[in-house]
Amino acid sequence: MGAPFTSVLIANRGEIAVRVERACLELGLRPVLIASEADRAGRARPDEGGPLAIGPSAPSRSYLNQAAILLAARVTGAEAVHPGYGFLSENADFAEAVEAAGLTFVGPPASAIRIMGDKIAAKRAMMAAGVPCVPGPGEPLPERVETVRAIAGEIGYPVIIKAAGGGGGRGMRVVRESAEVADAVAITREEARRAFGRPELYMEKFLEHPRHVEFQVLCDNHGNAVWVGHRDCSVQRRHQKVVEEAPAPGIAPELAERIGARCAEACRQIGYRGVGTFEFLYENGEFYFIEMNTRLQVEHPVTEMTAGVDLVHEQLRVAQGAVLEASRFAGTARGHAFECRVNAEDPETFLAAPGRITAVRFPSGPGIRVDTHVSAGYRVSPYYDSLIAKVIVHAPTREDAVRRMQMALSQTRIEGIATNLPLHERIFADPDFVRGCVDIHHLEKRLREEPRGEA
Amino acid sequence: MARRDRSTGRNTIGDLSDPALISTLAGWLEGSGANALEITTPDGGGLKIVLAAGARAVRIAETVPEAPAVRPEGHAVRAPMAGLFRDRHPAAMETGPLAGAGRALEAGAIAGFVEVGPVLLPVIASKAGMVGEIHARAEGLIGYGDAVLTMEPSR
Repeated sequence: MGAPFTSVLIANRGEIAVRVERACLELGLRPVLIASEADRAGRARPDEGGPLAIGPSAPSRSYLNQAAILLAARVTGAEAVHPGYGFLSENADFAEAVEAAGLTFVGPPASAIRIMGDKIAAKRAMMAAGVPCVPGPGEPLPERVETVRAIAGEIGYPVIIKAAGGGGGRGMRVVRESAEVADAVAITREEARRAFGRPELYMEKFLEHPRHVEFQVLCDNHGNAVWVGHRDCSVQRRHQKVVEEAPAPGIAPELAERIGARCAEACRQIGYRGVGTFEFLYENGEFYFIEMNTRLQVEHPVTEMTAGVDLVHEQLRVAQGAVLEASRFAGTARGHAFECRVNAEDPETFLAAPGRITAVRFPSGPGIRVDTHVSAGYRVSPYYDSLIAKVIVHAPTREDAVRRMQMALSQTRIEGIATNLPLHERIFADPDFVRGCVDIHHLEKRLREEPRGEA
Repeated sequence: MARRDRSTGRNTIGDLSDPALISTLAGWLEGSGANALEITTPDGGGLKIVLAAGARAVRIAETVPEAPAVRPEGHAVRAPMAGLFRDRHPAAMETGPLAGAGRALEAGAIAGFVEVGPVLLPVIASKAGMVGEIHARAEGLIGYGDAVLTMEPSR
């Protein structure tokens, strides 16, 4: 339940802790910062405004240590806990423990986190709310080949046959026409039996060149739920998003409105609260639900820029029990925004590159925002993920926003450690990306085509 | 919903039988150098953790490399967990501070306590020496690994 509170423990680190701290101060709330031993080094003591060290550098003993965080909340008198993203943000047990301790969890109820954390339960809840899912029966395929062929025909080719017990890309086969069904089933079933000890198979529609498009939602405790825009996060490497933009280009407004409304309806049905994201694959004008993230996303700023909303403010307000004014969010996106995730990693091998930053220059100017926690002298720790900054631009059109990001990247300097800035410059110089609507395989394909080190 | 009154609120560290809490406390206990910890709550709940003799060395070795560098001339006595620093036992407030400046402490001596609600962990001097500078303020907030005081080696 939402409850008034005046202080918020930020159970996170890095740029998102800075982001949430700023939002708390803007709303007149007292932020309580915590840190691991590595992150505390060189910062002020807690009584001088610095973070309270709660444990050693290893995340399991600090940012993932629920007992240490709850004790820190108690000793600092914090009344609410904001989990940020990652770490404990989608841990239903933690959300429950926070509330059981008499504090407010700035996020959805534990029950909603649990539903969305279970793939089958999530898909069922989405179907109940009319959210489109990847077509296919959510149960094992029958033995009779004729029946399997009928199911495939109903789904529409191409389909993919997968071992129910499989994973990691093994035990799956794409089928493009009905003549291939019998062989594909027989071979995959035999593989499944041998490799996973379970012969059960299931079948889904196979999407060849999907884009990753996601919908931002915002809900209060009083049954109000709205969608606040969509984003395209197709530029990925090994399932990690690299560049995000809002709005997703080339989506018909009526279609977006229909999908967004279904997402909001799903939220009402599961008693959702706070911010959340419905992730979809998008291909040939159709959306297919993948999963829901029950937290603030790394890429939330592109939606903030184009929707004119401060999502962290909204998150804190609804956690306090405020009623959402749904009409404020019913506009179309204004202009276009991009975000580049700047990581401390080798731009060619993508290996993490921790170390001390000797000099930093971030871009500035109209329509430029940088969310970061680093400055000259900052030591990038090997213990945590390598995100050191998010460079975000906003401009009236996508074309203008591309140019603005090209300029912003050219003005960004981070010295002393390797970063993926050269990769971002390559992406924003890629004609296909600049044209828009690339699929989720595009970046990896480009990286394979282009010899390393060449732009 | 009514505001919670934190001063009379119930125990907010959760269930004392929670394995995560016990594991965390056991970890802190190891780091503190003490070997037993007992917690009782006003509502009659309780928890006692006693470390097995052989279990300690391994964990301590794990935390040592993470500790910040100490001054060459002395060594810092650090807080085993985040909490309020107590320079004396809360049940014996009339006594003086356990570790006043210039006082000699033996290895294993209690230099103060860190308190969070019903949890009270001792701050232990790992080596014998003379209390030099005291960094922690009594009743003040202190973090995990923060220096409570600096010990000068005894001659």
